[in-house]
Amino acid sequence: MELADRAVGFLLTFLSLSIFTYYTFWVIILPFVDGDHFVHKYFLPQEYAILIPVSAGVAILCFLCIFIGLVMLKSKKKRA
Amino acid sequence: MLEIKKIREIRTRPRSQQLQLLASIGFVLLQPVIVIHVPRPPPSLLPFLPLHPANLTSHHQSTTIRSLAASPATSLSCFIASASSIQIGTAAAWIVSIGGVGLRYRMDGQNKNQENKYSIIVPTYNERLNIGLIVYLIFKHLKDVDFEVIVVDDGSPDGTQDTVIQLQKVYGEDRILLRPRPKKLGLGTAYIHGMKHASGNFVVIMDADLSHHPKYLPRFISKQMETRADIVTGTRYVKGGGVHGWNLMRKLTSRGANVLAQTFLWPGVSDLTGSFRLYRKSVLEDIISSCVSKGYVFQMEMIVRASRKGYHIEEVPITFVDRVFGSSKLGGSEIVEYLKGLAYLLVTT
Repeated sequence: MELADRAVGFLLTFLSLSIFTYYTFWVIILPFVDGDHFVHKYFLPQEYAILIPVSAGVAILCFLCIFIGLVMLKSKKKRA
Repeated sequence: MLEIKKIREIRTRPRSQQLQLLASIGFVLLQPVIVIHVPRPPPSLLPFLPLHPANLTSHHQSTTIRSLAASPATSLSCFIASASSIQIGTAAAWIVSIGGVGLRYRMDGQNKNQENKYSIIVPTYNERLNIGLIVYLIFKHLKDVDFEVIVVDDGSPDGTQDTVIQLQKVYGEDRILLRPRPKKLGLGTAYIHGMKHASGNFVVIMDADLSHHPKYLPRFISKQMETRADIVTGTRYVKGGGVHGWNLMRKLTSRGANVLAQTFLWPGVSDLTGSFRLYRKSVLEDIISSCVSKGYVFQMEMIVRASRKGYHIEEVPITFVDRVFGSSKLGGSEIVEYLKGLAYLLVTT
């Protein structure tokens, strides 16, 4: 039981570290690399570096607001 | 912007000032990112970006990223200069504060073992099965310590008070005090009620449902005596601490809530919602008079207010054992209550 929890923990850490390094490389190091280097094949075009986090943030905010709204509605209905 | 005093006491500043400082530091650090992604800022914005190469050099830039990156030395050196100056400034500030912290301890003779009395406040409701065990364990682990146990019972229908009266016959009425109340009136008022009858100069609060084990009490006491802290908290999120009996979702939720509270409040402790704490009595009176929330947000508010007032807080790792009988469910409404409490604390402390 505890081993499964630790495994999930390691998985999450590894996932977040890899996303972090990919993003750091993409945003900070890649602009200084020549345009015809082969490394650019492995990374999406530059606009996505901004689009993806912003859209994820907006999606999370929407989800949060809907969740809070639903819970508040439910509690008001229960009290009434 | 980088007043050293402000950085040293940043924990005690109100939230608005903390955010101001953070925003100004972040602005300086983000200049390189702005340089890379906004090759030609509008001319009206240029005066606000002091580290932009367009401001530093006098000739006009072309818009390609390549030409900008043709002077990576400029942007990198700006980045390194700003980042390292902030790093060095902060490091110097912290070194000064650590050096100066020795002057902060008051030299009062309050820490000999014989002069301290510990009042342990245990709020109970329907804890007939657990209260005898808790009292036995407290007496077992605190053999050479002067203490008293104050049971604040909120009118339990299952006969907790009769059990306590029998315990009083065994251990003595001066060691176990029963201070009942007519009905369930809330945790904060239970603490206030218990403190009115407390005769010690330190107050320990703990849960009566065996989730807080009394074996940690000697560690709390010795930690307080070593460091002369005003408050000692038990924390589950430090090495040596933990929880037992929670499934993964519950653990993740608890950790996530703690991370959220840490980001928004900077409390100076690692576990905000834990309720196993040792307070100096004067400190507890001071804090409780300024708290207004209820439930576990009350625990958070207490420790955040203590942090803002500059009290010395220490931590001891504990293991929190979930109650075996009757699970406390974490539904959506609890989450929303927590978020509301967090927002309230963000704005008012």
